Amino acid sequence: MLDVHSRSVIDMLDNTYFDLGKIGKGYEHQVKIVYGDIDQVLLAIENILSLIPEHLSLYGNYPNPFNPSTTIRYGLPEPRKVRMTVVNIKGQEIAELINDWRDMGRHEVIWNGKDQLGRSAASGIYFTILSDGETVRSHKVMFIK
Amino acid sequence: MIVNVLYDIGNNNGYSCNQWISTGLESNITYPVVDDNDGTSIADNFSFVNYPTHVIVDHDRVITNIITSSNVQGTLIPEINELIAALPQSYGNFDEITNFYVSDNSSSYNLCYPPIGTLEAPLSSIQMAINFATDGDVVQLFPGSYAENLNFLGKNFTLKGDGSNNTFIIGDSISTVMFNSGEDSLALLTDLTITRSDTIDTQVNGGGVFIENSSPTLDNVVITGNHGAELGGGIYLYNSNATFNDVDITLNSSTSEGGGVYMYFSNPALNGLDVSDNNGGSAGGGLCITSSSNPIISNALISGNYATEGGGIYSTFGSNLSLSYLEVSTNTAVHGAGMYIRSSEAMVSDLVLTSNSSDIGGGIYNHASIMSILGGSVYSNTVSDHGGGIYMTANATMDIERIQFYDNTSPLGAALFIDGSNANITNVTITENASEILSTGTGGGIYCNNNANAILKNTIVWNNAPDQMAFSPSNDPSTVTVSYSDIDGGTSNIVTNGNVSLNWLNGNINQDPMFVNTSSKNFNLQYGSPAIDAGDPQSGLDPDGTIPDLGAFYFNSGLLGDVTFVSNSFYFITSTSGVTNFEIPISNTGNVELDYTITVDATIANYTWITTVSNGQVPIAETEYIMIDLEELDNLEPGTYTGSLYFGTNTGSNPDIMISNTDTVDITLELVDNTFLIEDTTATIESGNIDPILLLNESILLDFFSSNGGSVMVRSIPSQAQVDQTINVLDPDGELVDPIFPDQYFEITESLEGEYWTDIGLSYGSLQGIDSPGELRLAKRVSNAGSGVAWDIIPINQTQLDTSIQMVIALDQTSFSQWSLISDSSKNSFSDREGPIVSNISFVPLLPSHGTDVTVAATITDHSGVSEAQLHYGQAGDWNYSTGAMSANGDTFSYSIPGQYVTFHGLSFFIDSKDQNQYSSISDTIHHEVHFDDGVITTANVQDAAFSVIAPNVWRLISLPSIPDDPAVELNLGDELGQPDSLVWRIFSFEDSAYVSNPVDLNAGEGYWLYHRSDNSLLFDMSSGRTGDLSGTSLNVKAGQWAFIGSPYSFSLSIDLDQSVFYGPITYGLINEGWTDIVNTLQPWSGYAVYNRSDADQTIELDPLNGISVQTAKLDTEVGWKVRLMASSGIYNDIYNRIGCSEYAEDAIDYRDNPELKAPGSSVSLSFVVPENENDRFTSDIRAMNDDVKIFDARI
Repeated sequence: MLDVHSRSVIDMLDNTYFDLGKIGKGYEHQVKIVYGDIDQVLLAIENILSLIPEHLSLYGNYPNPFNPSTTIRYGLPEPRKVRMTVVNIKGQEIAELINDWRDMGRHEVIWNGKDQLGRSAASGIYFTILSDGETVRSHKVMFIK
Repeated sequence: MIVNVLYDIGNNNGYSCNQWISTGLESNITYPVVDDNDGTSIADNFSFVNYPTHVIVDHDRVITNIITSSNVQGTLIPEINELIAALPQSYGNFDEITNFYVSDNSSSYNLCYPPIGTLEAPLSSIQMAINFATDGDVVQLFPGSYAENLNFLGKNFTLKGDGSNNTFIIGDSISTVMFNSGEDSLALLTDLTITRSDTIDTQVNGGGVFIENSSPTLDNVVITGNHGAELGGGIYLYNSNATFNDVDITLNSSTSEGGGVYMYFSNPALNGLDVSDNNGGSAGGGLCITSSSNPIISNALISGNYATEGGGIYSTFGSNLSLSYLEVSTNTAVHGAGMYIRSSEAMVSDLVLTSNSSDIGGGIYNHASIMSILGGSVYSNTVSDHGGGIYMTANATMDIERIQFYDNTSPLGAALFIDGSNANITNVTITENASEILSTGTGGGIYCNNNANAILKNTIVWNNAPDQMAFSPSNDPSTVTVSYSDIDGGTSNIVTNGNVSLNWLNGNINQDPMFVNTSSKNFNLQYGSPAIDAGDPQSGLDPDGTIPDLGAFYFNSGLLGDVTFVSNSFYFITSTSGVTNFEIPISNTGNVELDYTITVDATIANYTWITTVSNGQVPIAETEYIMIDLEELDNLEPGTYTGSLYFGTNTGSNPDIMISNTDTVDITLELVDNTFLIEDTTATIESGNIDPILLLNESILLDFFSSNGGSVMVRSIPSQAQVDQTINVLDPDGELVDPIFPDQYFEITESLEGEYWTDIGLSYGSLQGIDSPGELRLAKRVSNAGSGVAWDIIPINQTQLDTSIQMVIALDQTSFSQWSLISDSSKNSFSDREGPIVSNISFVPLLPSHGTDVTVAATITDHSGVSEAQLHYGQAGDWNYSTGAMSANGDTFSYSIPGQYVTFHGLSFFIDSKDQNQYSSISDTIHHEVHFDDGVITTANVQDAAFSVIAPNVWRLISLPSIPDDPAVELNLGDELGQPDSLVWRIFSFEDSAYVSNPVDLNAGEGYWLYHRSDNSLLFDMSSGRTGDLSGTSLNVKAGQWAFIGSPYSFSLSIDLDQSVFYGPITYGLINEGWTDIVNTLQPWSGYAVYNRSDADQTIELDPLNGISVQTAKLDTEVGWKVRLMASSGIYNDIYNRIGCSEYAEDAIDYRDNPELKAPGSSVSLSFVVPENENDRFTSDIRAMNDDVKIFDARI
């Protein structure tokens, strides 16, 4: 049994009790029970964990530079309410891409190079900003025409 | 497209399908195509041109002919070859088949294609079956009519119908059936009728059956309605030694000779013939025997036939007849109505020759033939010219012995006319014949003409009119020799006309022969007759060892007076107001008139209860009935009385002397009180054939086919007739090993003139212990028989069962007497083995109130009487019944159930009763709802209630344990919780997959979420209401949805739902604050959640009486594993969650994956995301059993 949130694992053949500790309110606490050959089980747990970042993560976008749109990848260690925005080099917020709960794991979001009013942004360097209220991550992207 | 492929399946026996066609049988072949091996049509596989076509192949599949209505042969052949190639290799070996079946309703099986002629697939053509048959085979016909002409083709097999009354072979054009290829006696035609639809060609002989150079056997065959043949309307025989048994030859005709049968150079053996109403044209209306034929005929009736010569029988050309036990009657002709024997020889014995009518020779016309007649009667024959009984001419010779002639009429020679012939008349009685039909009539007994020669010995010629003998005044004189004979008037009553040589020898007398009874035509001699021992001592002795008597019948001097009682004990049952007389038969079985005296010995306390005649007489061979009157019955107590009748008779060696006490007849009287159910009725019977009548409450049926009218009295006696068990019943079928009788028998007496013919039926409808009506038999014996009289059982073949009126019927009865049903004890018991019948169960009050008495009443009846009845009663859901003895008032039994057993749970009761034989019956259980007042039902006083109190501050699923009069929430919860207030209490219903807050009503059978913050130990009660419907409650669950349910009963109820259809029921909060596992009991006050996982709406039937829901199913045991996961936090938990793998499970959702239902408010939920369904949550996730790594995705 894998507590995805704490990334801790117990062997259910040896343990019948698993204290999950205090679990979050407002979202489901996820636990994976993996069954199979021991080597396969360990490999499966490794694969599960590999898909779940240990921290709030903002990965590179592609393509970069881009026109007309680019895909931005990010990851959550547990379900969180996150906000992702695009700012220009002046720090001005051009667009808000996410402002909602997201499950743990890896996710993607697309920016189509337009601002909040649907107007095409100017060519240049922009930054994607990801925040969960506690941690902020940023990444540079380049929009060309 | 019609194609018939016809096989040559004759196995080289000379038959081919070409013959079928040439004989026109192809018109019967209607099946369009052949079938292949598995019987399916293969017609669709071919695209023939649309013309009827017959393809003829031989058994090597070589096409021998193609017949088509169009010249398309060239284009058809390839397809036909393909078709033939598809035919089975084996056509069956018909030599191995010994039984062929034929049905006239079998056109579907006309194909020359196996299998044919089986019981299941009979042929439709008899001749086709004959073609297939070989020696020793049987061709069996289904009932029906077969329009065919048949030829046995020289084969010695059996052609068997289903009975002559329902199997008909109807020919046309030629003889219906032909034997002309040397068939022998093993060629058997049986159990059918031969007739024809047309009038046969006059060039053909044998309208029904043609037999030539063959000797087949005909058994139980009817030959009727065959007309037009020149010779032999019914049957033609040529050079045949055929054998006939039980053959009826009726209503046939020929244009020339032999209306019934024509024999030509044939020597048949004919037994059991009925040759009636045939028309033979010029000769032989019934039989025409000619050309040296030598038939042996016995047990034959020749009646109602006509021909110019020989209405009954005509014989000629050197034939030699052997006839015995022959009745020749009511035939007509010009010459020889009964028989015309010409130039033949005939030896006849045991002859009855009567009521034949012609111009000459009413009974027999003997022309130049040699005949002997030994034993029999010649009476009531009549002619318009001469020879009423027998006419002899042309030097004929007749030996006539032991014959009685009477009531024959003719102007000349009423009994005998001897014309130039010789007659030896020995031990003959000639009496009451008359020639007075013409004023010139003469020769009332015998008339002789033209050199006739008559020799009379040991003969009585008495009381013929106007004279005993007469001789023609012209022609050559005749000669008559008379010796040892009784001639009325002696020589003075002989009209000689001076033209006779009368040899009056010794021993002649002229005295009244003292016949027994001339009015009843009994011409036996009475005791004291002068004809006794008056015969020629040289003639040998009579059978009694004495000198011969005169006349046809000797007097048995060894048997004088003799009396016979059919029984020496009689039993009569009656009441003082019932029938008070009956008759006992007394038969004179002696040789003299029976005189008897009767002395009665039947006195009790100076009351003589029998009176009868003191003496009487019974004529010879007759039976008379002595009336027994019962007297003084008013002075007798009910009981059994025995008395005796002492008979004195003249049965000693001297009939003139009475002997006292030669016989005793015992009479038993069973006198019953007036309430005894003896019934009697007298029915008037119209003459002739009348409609069936049912008497005595339809307990007996009489169906007269003929009678002269009168009346019949039937007494029904409700007890077993007295039977001495040592006296065996006389069962001709031998099936009654241990005979038993019902408690009912009948005494039937009649007042009918003459003979009658009726069916007698006895009802078994009201009798007990009738297990096998078909095994019931009927028994009869003498009226009012005592115990020592054996029963005669009506043979099975005369017994008929009519289940529609529940009667066993004896067919064709000619007498009444004492009758009873009877059975072997192994078949029917006639005893009441059924428990009482309980009906009309009622109770008051109709809707009882909790705690009040209920009175139950019922009608209980039993054939043998009710010995006891008990009422078992209790509360519904309890099933521990109390018992009370019901009190009787006639057939009504009642009991009052104490109010303590009448509760809001509902009332249940049933009645257990026994009869006098200790056979019991149990009524259906009656369940009824009980009304209760407000506050009677609480959470505390209901058995097995889910809650004694409903805890505060937690959510609970609740329901009402009965049906409220008013379901308003404010009445059922508001009285404890006050007005709805979200801060104090909340209630939710579940409707259309959504919670609905604060419903107005609490409906019985539904579940509700309740949350309150009131008193810590709040006790709820219901408003007034009544028990839930004890006949059952239906709960509906929509497809793919949850439903919240409850039991509307105040007792726990088992439930076992099919979990492949449902998930649940589950409830909440029984163990901390969480869901239960699936439960199998619905408890009062609790609510439950049930999920319908199917795609159809479902109904859960709650059965409070049997306590089990009908939605049960046994799930297969599966190999696999499960792990139960439990999550908890504080007081909240979710402990019935399962993951696992199973051999039959799927990785996707199936019935093993149960949905998760979340409780309202704070709770813990552990659920699973099942593959392929990210949106829903499940409380179980059971996957397929394979080598894949399983990753169960749990959410808490």
